[in-house]
Amino acid sequence: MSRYTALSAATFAALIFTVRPALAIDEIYSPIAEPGEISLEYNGNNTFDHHHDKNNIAEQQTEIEWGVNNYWVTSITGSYEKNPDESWKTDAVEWENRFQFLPQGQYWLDVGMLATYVHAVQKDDPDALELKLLLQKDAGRFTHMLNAGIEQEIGRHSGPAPDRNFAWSTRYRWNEYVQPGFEIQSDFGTVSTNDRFQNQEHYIGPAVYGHLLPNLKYEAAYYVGISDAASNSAARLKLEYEIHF
Amino acid sequence: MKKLTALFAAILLATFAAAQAADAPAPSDYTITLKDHAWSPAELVVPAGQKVKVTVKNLGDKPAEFESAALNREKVVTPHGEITVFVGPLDAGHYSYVNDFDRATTGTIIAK
Repeated sequence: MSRYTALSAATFAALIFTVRPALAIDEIYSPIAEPGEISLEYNGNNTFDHHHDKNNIAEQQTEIEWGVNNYWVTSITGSYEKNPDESWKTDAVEWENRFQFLPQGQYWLDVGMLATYVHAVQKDDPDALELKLLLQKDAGRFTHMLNAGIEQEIGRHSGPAPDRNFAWSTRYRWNEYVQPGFEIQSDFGTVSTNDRFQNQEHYIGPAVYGHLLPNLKYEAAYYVGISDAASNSAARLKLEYEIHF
Repeated sequence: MKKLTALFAAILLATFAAAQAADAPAPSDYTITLKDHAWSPAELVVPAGQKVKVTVKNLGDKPAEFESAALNREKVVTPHGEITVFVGPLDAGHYSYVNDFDRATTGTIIAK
C-alpha cells in the first residue's frame, strides 16, 4: 500500500467517525460515469437553527459505488438520520443507478439520470423510488450542474404525491485541490400540498470542491436558509475515496 | 405517477436537445500516446475556440488514468487500450493533464 493510499484511507476513516452531517440537502450528482472505478463515499449534512425543531437535523450516508462501464454506475448506500431530541437511527438502504446518456463533452450538454430505490429500515417508514435528471455543462473553467428530481413513496404507509427537489452547483476549476463555487438546494414539497415559497425549503451558499489527496476527493458546502421552512443554516460534506481496478 | 412520466419526458427532451444543439462541424481529431512514463506529444497544440476529439492510447502494460482538473476530464485507460475525450471549445491557454496513477507523467494541451 502506497503512502498516499494509507494516508487517504486513514483520513477517510477519521472523518467518517468525527464529522456529523441534513435532510432536504443532498449531494449534487454529475451525469458522468467513471468506468473501472470503485469508490467509497461518505455524505453527511446537518442543520443549525435557533428553533429547536429545525436544529440538528442530520443525515449520514456511507456508500460503495462501482463504475460498471462508460454509461452506468451502480451503488449501495446505508443511510442514517437524526432528528431533534432523537438518537441516530438506521434510516434506509438505497440502491442507486446513475446513467450517462451521452459521451462527455461531445454535445453542448451532458445528460444523465439517477434512479434510486430506497428501502426503509424502520418498520413504519415507506420505501421510495427517486428519479433525478442530471445535467452538466462545462464552460471555460466553470462547471455547472443541475439535478431535478422527484421521490415517490411506495408500499405501506406511503404518501399519495411525490416530493419534488432541485439542486444547482457552479464551480470554478481553479486547480485540482481547490475549486470554489456555490450551491442551491431546494425541496418544493409534494405536489398535493403545493406549498408557497416560504413553506418550502430553500438553501443557498458557498461550496468548495477538490482533492485532499490524489485518490481522495472532497466537497464541502455551507448554506443559508432563505425560506421560512428552511433552517437558519446547514452544512454538507462529501468524501470520496477512489480505488481503481 | 404523472410526475414520473413528466421527468422521463424531460430527460428525453434534454437528451434530444443536447444532441441537436450538437453540432456544427465534426471536431478535429488528435492523438496522445502514453509509453514509458511519458506522453507523446508532451505538448499538444489544438485550435482555440473549437471542440476537438482526442484519442488517448495507453501503449504500456499498466492501467493509466487521463486526468485534468483544467479540462474536467478523468478517465481510465486500460493497458494497450484507448479512450476518446472530447474537449472544448477552449479559450487560448495551457491545460495540463496527468496520468493519475503515475503523477510524475504530465502533459499539456495548448489551445491557440
